[in-house]
Amino acid sequence: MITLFVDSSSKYLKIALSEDDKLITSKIVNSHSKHSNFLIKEIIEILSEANLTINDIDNFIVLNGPGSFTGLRVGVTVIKTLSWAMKKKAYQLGNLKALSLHDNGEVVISVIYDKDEASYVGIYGDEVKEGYCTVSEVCCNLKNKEIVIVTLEENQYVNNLKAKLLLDNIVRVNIIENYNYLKVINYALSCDSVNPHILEPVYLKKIDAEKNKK
Amino acid sequence: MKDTYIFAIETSCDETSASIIKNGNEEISTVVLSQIDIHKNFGGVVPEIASRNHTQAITLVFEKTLKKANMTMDKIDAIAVTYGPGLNGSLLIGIEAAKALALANNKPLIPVNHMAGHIYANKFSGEFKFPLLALVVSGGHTELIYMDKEYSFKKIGGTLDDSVGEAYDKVARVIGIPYPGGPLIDKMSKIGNSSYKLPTPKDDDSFDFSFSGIKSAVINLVHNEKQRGKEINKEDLAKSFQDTVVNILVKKTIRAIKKYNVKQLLLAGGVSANSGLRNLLDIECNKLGIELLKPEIRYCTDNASMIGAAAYYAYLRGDRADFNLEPNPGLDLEEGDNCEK
Repeated sequence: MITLFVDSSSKYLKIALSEDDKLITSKIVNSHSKHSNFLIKEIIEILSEANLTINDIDNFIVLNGPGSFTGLRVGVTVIKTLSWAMKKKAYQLGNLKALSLHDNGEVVISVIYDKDEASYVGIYGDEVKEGYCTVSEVCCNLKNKEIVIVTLEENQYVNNLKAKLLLDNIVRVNIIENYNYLKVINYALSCDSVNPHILEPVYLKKIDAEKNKK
Repeated sequence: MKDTYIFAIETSCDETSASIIKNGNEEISTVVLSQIDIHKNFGGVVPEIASRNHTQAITLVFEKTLKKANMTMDKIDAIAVTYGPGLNGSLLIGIEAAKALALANNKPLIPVNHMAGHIYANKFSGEFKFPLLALVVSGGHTELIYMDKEYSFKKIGGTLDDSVGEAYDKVARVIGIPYPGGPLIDKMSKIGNSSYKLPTPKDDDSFDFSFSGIKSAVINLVHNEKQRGKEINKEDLAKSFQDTVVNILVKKTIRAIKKYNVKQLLLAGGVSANSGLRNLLDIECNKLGIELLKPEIRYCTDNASMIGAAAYYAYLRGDRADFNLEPNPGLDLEEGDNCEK
């Protein structure tokens, strides 16, 4: 079974190909958030490097956010159209959940950096919570826990969060730099596939027009 | 000659649409999903929300289009998509989906100008007779286009500031008519009298238009009436405004018809649904003995069928896009970039 994985939620385009339990190849392209110029071309290229064509893909996986709104839409639109048109299986997985797979702890907090004051946060403990939060919004109800914070690159939001959480908890920060593709792919494939029509980005952050809605 | 089927995609603003067109003038099936009820809540189109809704609906719209036609993609000769002008984020979704569809089915991709689409909506009304003149009026455009052959566009005049559609929307806001204001002003003007005096905008020898002044004139008029404690008669103001705008549009169009000695006039764009404009052009073209092609009302608003009609001629002349295709929000009709020629 050949699987194509796409994450276009940041300025880096991440693409991976796997066959059963083996990662065939992966690449990171710095497309400066202009994924529309790159995604399809990079998919074709990674396939040809592996001596495969688009017809060989059995499963499509897309990380559906949160992250760059436009970036997410490029990835989701391409994967949803490809999987629908080719009648192949489609899977979507949240970026926060994907991050949380990289460590174990009583509570795992994944952070996708947006701003120093607020960022995208997933809390995976007895309960699961995902949202766009300030540091103090995350800290409530977390006392006397062993906490692991997982994030992609060092950032001020995580530093602030760690400092605040340390008052009541044991905290470790795990900067993973990139996804372990095989781990993420295997987890996504263990979930149910979805009808391509319902593939959709998860934005988590409200835009101004929504806040001011009449 | 073998029949050519084009699968066309249009997402330049707030309509998600797909269509299958045979030989450039026969509509096999079209699906248009309008987001107008969503954007009404915000008093206008919110680009981010438009883009989100395109992403949500795009494959469902494709599927419904194929089902309606009782066709599969293997009978399609090419995929066509609007790449501008329009909202960047909205165009992007149609383009990405079109590229993915072209890759999945190994079909050529044809980039289409949205305004060419509006002009070619007239292919469903009749044959083009060259040379012809097209009056293109929409939310973003007010242009007189000269065509001496298929898919050749020469601008002979256009607006220097606001488009007709913008003027309608702004005036609607001033007199308190909800979005979308244009069609409502048209409706109200049918029961109003042209009792308010408004200045005729840019009444000169050029083929250019200007509609920013008339908006200010309406604002001043409303303001002055209020100060005098008088209530505005909205229907009368709608009629006065519409008459002023339509008269100058038709006057300059008729003069261009004479000067360029064309065989036919095409009316195109979202504002071509305006009844005042349609009626006056009917009368004036009749007087001149010149044929007028108007799109059916359902082809006036954004839809993919017109993109499929235009795409057929782009296809014939060899326009093809590769996977680098990206939105061009300010695309000009005379521009043909992004095509491998």
